[in-house]
Amino acid sequence: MAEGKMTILLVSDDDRSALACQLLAQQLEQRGQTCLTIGPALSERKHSPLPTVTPQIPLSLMDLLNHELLESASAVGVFMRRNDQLQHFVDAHRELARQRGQRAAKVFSGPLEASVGDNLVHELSDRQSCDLLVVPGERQRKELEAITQFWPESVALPRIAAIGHWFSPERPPLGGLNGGSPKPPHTLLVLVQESIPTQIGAKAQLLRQLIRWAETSPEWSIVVQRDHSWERGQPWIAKFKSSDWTLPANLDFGAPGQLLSQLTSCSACLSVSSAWSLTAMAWGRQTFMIGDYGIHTTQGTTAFFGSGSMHRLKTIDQLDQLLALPPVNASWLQSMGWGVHDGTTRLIRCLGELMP
Amino acid sequence: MNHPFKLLLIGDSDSQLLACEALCRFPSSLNVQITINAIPREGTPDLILQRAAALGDLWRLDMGQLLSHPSLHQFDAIGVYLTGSKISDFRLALELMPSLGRPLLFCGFNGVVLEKFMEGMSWRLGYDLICLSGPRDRETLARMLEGTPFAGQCTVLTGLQRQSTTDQKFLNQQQRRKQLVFAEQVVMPSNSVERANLVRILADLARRSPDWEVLVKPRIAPGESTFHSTTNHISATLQQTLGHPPDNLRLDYRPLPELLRQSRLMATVSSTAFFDALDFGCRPMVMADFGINPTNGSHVFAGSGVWQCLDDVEDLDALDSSLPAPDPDWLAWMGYGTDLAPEKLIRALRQLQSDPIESPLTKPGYLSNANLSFTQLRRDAERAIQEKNWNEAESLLRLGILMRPTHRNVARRLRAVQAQNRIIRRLVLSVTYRDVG
Repeated sequence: MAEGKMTILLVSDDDRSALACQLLAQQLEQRGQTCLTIGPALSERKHSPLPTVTPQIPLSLMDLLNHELLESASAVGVFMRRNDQLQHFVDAHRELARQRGQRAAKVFSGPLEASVGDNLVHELSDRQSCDLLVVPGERQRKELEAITQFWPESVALPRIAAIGHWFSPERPPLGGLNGGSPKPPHTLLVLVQESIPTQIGAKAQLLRQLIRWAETSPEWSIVVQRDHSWERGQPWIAKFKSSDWTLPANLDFGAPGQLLSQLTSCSACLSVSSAWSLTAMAWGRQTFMIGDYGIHTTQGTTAFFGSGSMHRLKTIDQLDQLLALPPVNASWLQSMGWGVHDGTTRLIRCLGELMP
Repeated sequence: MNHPFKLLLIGDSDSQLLACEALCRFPSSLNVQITINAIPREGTPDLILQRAAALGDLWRLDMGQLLSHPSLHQFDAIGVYLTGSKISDFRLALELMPSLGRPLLFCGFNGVVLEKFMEGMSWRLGYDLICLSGPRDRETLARMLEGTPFAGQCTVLTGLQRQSTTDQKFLNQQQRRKQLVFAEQVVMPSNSVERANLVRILADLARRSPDWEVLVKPRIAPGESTFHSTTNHISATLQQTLGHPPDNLRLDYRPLPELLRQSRLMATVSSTAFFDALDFGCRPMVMADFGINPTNGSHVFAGSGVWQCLDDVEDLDALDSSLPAPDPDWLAWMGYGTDLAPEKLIRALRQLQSDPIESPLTKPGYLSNANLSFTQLRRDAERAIQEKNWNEAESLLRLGILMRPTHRNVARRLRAVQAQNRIIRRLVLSVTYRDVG
């Protein structure tokens, strides 16, 4: 069935993976494949920074096991925030198919970010039972191939393919590219994370720094956008009381659903280790990765070692200085997946080769 | 090469001191004069200190005393085997000395690196020379540094052989006792259920093999300390899991080399002791019973060629007769069985003495952990305490603990600033105050 027409199910379980699956489905359909996105809709109790995406079929991964959709599928892409059901799903699906005398659909999966080191090894370990592991860049593929090169044949090991940044839009909407020369009025987009930095009090410390910058650079706007979904009414900083803080007029928290449009319109982007920082870099936004927390797996900063965009907070007094920082290390960005421009074609080819 | 090459090795925990010891296998023709400084530390086993003393001069100076020691600049090279942030602190402090005549600085890792290679390497960047075990480490480092200003970092491969065994005669397999030594690791596996399961597997194997002895070699004796902190000693796990273990399974606190010299088989999950077994002619195997799990380091040892489930083994006679030799290609990749040896370190250092290489330049946008100063962090925390900015002080101290998990004063200062009661907080801050410069 190499490069023939396939029916591919793409399973998600949250806002981030639902968007990724929708983006992948669009790419696959443009190449003649049939796709269905599957997963629960985002809870109404939650806000997401991403555009609202509702999977076409409201089923959970385990519900899919007994659904007729699975019987007609050539492949299933599982992109869940939580991977604890993946192994169980793969084992059950293969066993059910065997008992029914059917061919099991090929299962593929992968992380929705470009990891390295310990995180990357865990991403492989979580998906060892799959037929295909998709990673963003050649850096990830080479690293995993090196780690697994001596593993015995008795150890289940998926095929590994680098298919780029399929999980985020390749470019901003038309007119959104600025050639790396943003024009005023400038906006700094701060991508803040749920549990990073890990130190208690560090979020408040960062917010105080942002307030100082807003005061010294009144011509800039600062938008603090969470990079993750959150319960309605839940502040980014635990026990945050707006009455305890006096935010300057040019600093505010971002509205839900607007992360991509903010990435399009911002002049600069700042984060500790948000995965969306790579998108900002690839879209030509001046990107400042906060280096004050060191290179640590727990801070997510190992992935950005070598980016050329990691600085200490104290290097910036006025936000205009952000625009004069050196650009991202292009070869690093390419190796982390941005250099793969035919990812969907590679995915189709790999799946085709896995089919009997 | 007539004048002696004066080498100072600095270690703190037992693991680091063992790494220093492993390096000290230089041929006499290199004329290396060794001094070892074991940073005073509670719980360091006496035996380790005795072994260090046998290698040359043994100093017991703390970091401050060491940095101000008048003889420090007389060494040709200093090898720093400390925990991450201290490695960086030492280099930063020594760089304050006049560059003319500064000893060369090198560092390395204590055995096989199972995790946090990038963090560990990030503390070490900027040293004149970094010792790596073998091609595996070098390839990983190359991927990490490719296209960065650090790409020119000097490294040398010194291998994983840790024992000088060339002059020793080993018993052949038939002369060895029917013993399987299990080399315990403090944190592998760290999960208490898996540790109990490990003990149960060894006990079952002992029951199935009544004419064998299964010896569990604890990583440390109760009350001793090591690089990794531990909450449950293996003796407690044994008691809690088995009650009465089978008669032919027991803990054995004799030095591992002694056990490996006389035993036929050695088992581990992912310990560097695997390579010690090879040094002593004991046949190693790797327990596959916990599958591929990066937290156990099994992803590194799965390719050894001797990765087997002990629970599936009929008995130790069957294992003894069927166990293959480790995969030579994997051994070479790890840094064993080839010509890698510590003498390459001395040759590389001599080369650097005669032909110095510029340290990688710092370039905006490229940070490593070596740019973070632990001392500066403590100073910032003290300033926040003076300003009664408790949140900031707590945050900085938590970062300090991340950088140096075993630093007692930072832990005490953190507990102090976390106190809700103002009087208690003031009291504890007063008691725990230390001048950090």
